[in-house]
Amino acid sequence: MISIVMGALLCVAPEDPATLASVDTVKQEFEAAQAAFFEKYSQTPEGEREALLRTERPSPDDYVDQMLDIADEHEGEAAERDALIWVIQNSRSAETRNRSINILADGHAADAAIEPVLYAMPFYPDPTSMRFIRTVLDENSHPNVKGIATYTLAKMTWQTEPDEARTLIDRVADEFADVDYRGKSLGETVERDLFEIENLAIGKVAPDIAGEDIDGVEFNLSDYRGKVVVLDFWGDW
Amino acid sequence: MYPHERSLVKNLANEPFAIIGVNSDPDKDKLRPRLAEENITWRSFWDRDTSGPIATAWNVQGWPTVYVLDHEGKIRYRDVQGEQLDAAIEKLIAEAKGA
Repeated sequence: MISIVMGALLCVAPEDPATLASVDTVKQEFEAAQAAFFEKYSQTPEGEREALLRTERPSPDDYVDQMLDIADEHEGEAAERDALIWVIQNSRSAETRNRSINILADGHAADAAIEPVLYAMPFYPDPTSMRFIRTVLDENSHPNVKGIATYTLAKMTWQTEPDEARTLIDRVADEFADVDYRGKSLGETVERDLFEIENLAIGKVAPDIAGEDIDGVEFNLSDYRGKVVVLDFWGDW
Repeated sequence: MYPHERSLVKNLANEPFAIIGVNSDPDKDKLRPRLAEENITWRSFWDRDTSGPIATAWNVQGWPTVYVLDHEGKIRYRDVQGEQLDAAIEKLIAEAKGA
């Protein structure tokens, strides 16, 4: 989640330098407060760190009001869009977040720069998020945004509306396979999702694994047929 | 996770049961001494790193990810832990013995 937020912070389009500077200023204030806190945290003895986290860790909620003021002053402008995107990504209040999502849906759904918000929607699977994605799909003509919105809607409807989700997944594969999604193409992403749904669901026979152990000795998962197997994807980190 | 896995391996040594890892540590030379230190005796596929071929095929996006397979190789549980994992294993071992 942190890396998503960081990524989003870097892709502000410089359309309105005078007002964007103030969105950037608030962001920079928050980041500076965070950096100062973590510096202090790293120099604090371990036993006192938890108390420090509770009392002094900067909360993004302290910066939300400033961002909402900027949004108010710049209705319909890029500065409103960027302030609201930050609030959606950072506010811990569902009410504030939903209000911001609704303003963004009503005023900026056609904008290419709303892409980062789509990545946050699966974390908040509620009617506000669904309405946002559907509005983006209706109004936005940028292929990247449409592809990611289509895929996000498919993921969010998979349990409740499997037929619609399947139609959306097919559309992603047909129309948006080349769109970049978190470092992979959407085509590869949906292919892997479909493999998981078709082969890795509860009740399916596990696909065999052929590989080498840490000493380079080859073996197969199916060597353990007849035994109950806990298959653990792990790393020593 | 290691202490729980160690106790499963020890307590179920005489049962039809195995832990199989898929390890994504990039450096085997750093991993080997850790296996000894943590008494990790169960076998792992070595998958090179988090984007290795096995993790990719299994669409793994978070670690640890755990699947529990029955004696016929069927996937029966996913991402169970603690007491739920113990209960799942116990149930499946009983099935394996009844078969």
